[in-house]
Amino acid sequence: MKVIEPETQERENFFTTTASSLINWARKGSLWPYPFGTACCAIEFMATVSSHYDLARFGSEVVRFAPKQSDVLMVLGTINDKMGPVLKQIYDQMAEPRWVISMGACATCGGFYRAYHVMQGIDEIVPVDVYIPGCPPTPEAVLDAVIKLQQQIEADTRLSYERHPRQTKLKTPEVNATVHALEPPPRALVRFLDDNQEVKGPIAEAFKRRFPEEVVSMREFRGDLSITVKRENIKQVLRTLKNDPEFDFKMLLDVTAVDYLSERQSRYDVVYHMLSLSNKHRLRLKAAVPADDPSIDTAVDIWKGADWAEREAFDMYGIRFKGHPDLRRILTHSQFEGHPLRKDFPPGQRTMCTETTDLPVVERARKYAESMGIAHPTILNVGPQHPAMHGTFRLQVAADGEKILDADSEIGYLHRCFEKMSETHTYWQVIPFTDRLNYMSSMMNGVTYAMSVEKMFGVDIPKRAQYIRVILSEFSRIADHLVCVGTNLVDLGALSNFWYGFRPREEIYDLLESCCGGRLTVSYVRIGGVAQDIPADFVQRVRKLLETIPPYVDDIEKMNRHNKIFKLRSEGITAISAEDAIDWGFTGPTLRACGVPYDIRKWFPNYDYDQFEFDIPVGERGDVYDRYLVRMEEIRQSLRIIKQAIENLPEGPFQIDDRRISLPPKKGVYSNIEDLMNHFELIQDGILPPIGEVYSYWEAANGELGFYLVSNGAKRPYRLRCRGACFYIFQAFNHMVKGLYMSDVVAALGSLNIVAGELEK
Amino acid sequence: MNLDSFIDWILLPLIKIGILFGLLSLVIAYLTLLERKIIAFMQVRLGPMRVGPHGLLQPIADGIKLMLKEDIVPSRADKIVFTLAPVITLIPAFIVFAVIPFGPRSIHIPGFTIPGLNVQVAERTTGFFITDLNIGLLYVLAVSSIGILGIILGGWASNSKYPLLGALRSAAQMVSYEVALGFSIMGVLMMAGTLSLVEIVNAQKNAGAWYVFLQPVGFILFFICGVAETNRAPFDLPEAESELVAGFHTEYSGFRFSLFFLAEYAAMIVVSSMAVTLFWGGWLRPFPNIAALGFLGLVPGFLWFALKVLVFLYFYLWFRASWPRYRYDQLMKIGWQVLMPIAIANVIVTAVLVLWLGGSR
Ligand code: SF4
Repeated sequence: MKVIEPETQERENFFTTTASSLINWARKGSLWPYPFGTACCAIEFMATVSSHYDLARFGSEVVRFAPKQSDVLMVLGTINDKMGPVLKQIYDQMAEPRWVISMGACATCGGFYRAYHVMQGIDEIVPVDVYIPGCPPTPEAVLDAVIKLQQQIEADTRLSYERHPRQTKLKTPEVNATVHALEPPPRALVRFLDDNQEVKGPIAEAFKRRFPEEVVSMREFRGDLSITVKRENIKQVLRTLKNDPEFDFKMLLDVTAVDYLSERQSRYDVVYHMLSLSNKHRLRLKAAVPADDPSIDTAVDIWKGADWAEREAFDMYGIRFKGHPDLRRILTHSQFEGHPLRKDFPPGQRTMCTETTDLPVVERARKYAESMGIAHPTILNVGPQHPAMHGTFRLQVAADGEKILDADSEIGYLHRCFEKMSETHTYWQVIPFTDRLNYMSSMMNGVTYAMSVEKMFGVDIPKRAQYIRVILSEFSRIADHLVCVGTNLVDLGALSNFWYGFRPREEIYDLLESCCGGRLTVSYVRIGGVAQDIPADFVQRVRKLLETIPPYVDDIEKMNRHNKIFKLRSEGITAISAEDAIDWGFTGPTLRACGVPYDIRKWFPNYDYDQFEFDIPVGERGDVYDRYLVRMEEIRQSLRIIKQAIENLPEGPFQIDDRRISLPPKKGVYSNIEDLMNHFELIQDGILPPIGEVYSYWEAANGELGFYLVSNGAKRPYRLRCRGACFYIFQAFNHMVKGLYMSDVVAALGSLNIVAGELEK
Repeated sequence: MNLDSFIDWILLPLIKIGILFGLLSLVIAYLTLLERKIIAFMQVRLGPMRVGPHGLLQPIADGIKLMLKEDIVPSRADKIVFTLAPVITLIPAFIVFAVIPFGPRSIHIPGFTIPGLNVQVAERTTGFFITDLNIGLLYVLAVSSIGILGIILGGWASNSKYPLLGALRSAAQMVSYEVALGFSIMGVLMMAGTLSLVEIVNAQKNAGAWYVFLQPVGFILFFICGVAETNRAPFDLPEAESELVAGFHTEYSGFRFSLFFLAEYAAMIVVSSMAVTLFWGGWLRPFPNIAALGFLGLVPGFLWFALKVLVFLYFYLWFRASWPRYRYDQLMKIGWQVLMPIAIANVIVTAVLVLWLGGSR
């Protein structure tokens, strides 16, 4: 506090009290937020705006996306080094007086992402007025923060505000943020992987017949066929696998790499996962790549979908894909040094980012214009903080007026190093990280991840646990679709649908909360089952929900299904053919909207899905409108599944009775030494799966979610790769929007349901 | 100048302008609150509740805050035009009200003598309007289309891409809808045979029916074009939040931004008032010629007028809460390929009928 002469102070006060209290009253009652939403916390902020909590009551619902018109910068979610300069720019553009609320552990201190690409708290670059703890904070906490800020303003005696001195330079990050060092792989893992086995089965036999020379090793583990081939001829092998009707692997699910350090002659493995829709086979193909020449032929000219995945492998491992048209970094920022997923890269080593770079489209447009001798087209930067880009995606377009001639997209503004983090945490500790992948439906990520570890163990979980997972996952799917449809419609200008979608979502939150205490990021799944049994009134709650949700859905349908304007805006927009969609690696509602009825719940059913009656809605044209219809129908079908599951909910344990995986009952721990030791070891060491590699997959809300897990028998995953559905969908985006209008971009993006957490991991 | 004309031409109008300006500012401010409240109710929420009882002081808080906000002029903007633009938009939106008749010519001021001066002031009658211009309708059309200039200039002067796009959209939109708007009121014009707004209302009384019943197509066209003219949903492209951030006023902060805001709401009221005046009988009570309903006449005319305007404003908000917005090219297409031909056809049909039936003259 300033020391003022008592006399003058009195005089000043006398003069200013009335005026300043009036001004402060106005300022505090009219806090217009700029929602700098990036991650899961943004979803909870949306809940704060929704009907149950209604931020509008405080006069703060006037969300302004123009920084100059907003008063309080709400930083909702993780800010990473790549996003840092953007955040700073937005802050600098705001008009005084301005305040900053930092929502959630991530914005405040980096949260549990003590990793190479995550800013350890936004106060590295902007001053913060109120911090909200929590991960994510509940809407009540957000309201509380607004009230806190109002109290601060009330106590303020300044009449005018100086501009905060600008912090012109970003701080150099500290290189200390990490949890655990990494261990080198034991020999046993390498031996396991290189071991050649006699494998039966149509694909394996056909492969041996066709490529006797190429096969290095072949093995089947937990039903996953995995073939290692030489890297020299990989292109020919891949081409045959795709085009030969005997294999017919039309869909490339994933390309990634694994680092085995010096334990093996060739340090890296490039791993391809593929799927044949015609004969329902899956295949894992691997090729070893040495450290001194980490390169391999690209697959982009075979599957379009290999594009970004290869870029990611390049970014993370430094593997060069020869012939790739645009091999740039994708997730980390352009100034980043090193390849973070290499095992010898320190998990917490950050590099400062001070700039945002132009994308290749600028250069392309310039060249084109020069060669044609015409004026340069307008280059428009859309995002990452553009309202329709959902906070984290960036599109740069060359436009002629409103028409898009060419575009490029850029991601990575929410890259929070999930894969590196999972290598530094135990199997249990990874579960909360998975929640924050697709945070719209966090339950399903947990389930899929747990499935991968269970698959590694080769165990089945009890029926009751299966049913609980099914019921809650289907609810999550509904919640996810509701947000997707709601935000898509808001982007189109139909505001109210957002509120209508959030009401049932809020009720689903209540159900989840009653099970595990979490609303958005639930962490309810455990390896081998769920964390605890469902509450006593679970069945009633579910039955009630089955009745309350349909009217909300009908409301949204009534407003939109036959709405002329909505149809005008959505029909035919970004229509994509089934072949193209498969080639890009589309899955989920986006693929089904093109007429391909691929749904893992029907094609590779587990958890009794083959006994539930439900239909797979498919569209025809694969445009925005069809995606909307498919999602709305899937909500109804999910309700059907839930109804059958809740009627047949089995009694029994909610966790597997396997002492390698789940904790012994408390009674035993207190009364006998075996259980006590067992408990002690599980807590100390965590669970120790066998050595091996598996790929587990499930129908998540926006497509096939897959986890490729390599275990070296230790307590932490050796490699955990997440195949997020939207990663493959979004890479097609800049190709799909060419020739469309700016407004269509907005409609298209919303309909693809891109969730940054999963996209950028 | 003698005293009477001084009173008629200067004193009375000034008083009226003062009252109107105050009222209008208040109405606009509260229209923003109304919008937030009504849309909130449509979305099953409460809307502003904390600033004053039921949020009643919200607009005042917003106003004070905006006025005291730092005023940023982008360094690369054209400073003069940038500053001028909001004013150019706001002023026409207000001065249009000069000719809008809120009520009949029915205020009687009895004659009196100013004591001490011994000056006789004659008895006079005046109306609930500032002036009754004999080309009132033209005046409205002319003045209200100046507002667009401010928007274009504002978007251009910001020297930034999104505002420019917003300004271009807005220019194209307003220009093309202005044409259809002009045609849509032609029918009314022909039936009333006058350009004076007061006389148009009187003509509706004489015709025995509000023009909306005689000119239903014209009315619908007028309202659609009116919504488009004011840049409101589903035609709110120039400031489409999800596409252009904040459209033409992205770079404006604080007070200047609020001027744009005020202008937009004033324009909404103008369009609603015009719709009421031209088609819904202005200040007339429902069924003005049915004596049995005479008790309705107990409610003064200007209240009827306000009530009707409110209904239209409600429609505005209703649209906003429920419809997606059009795309730029679709909007143009509707304007030129759908509304224009219908408007012209309407004019022709009306003209023929007026000639044939002898019109109302
Ligand atoms: S992880 Fe997600 S929910 Fe947790 S603080 Fe970060 S952004 Fe918020």
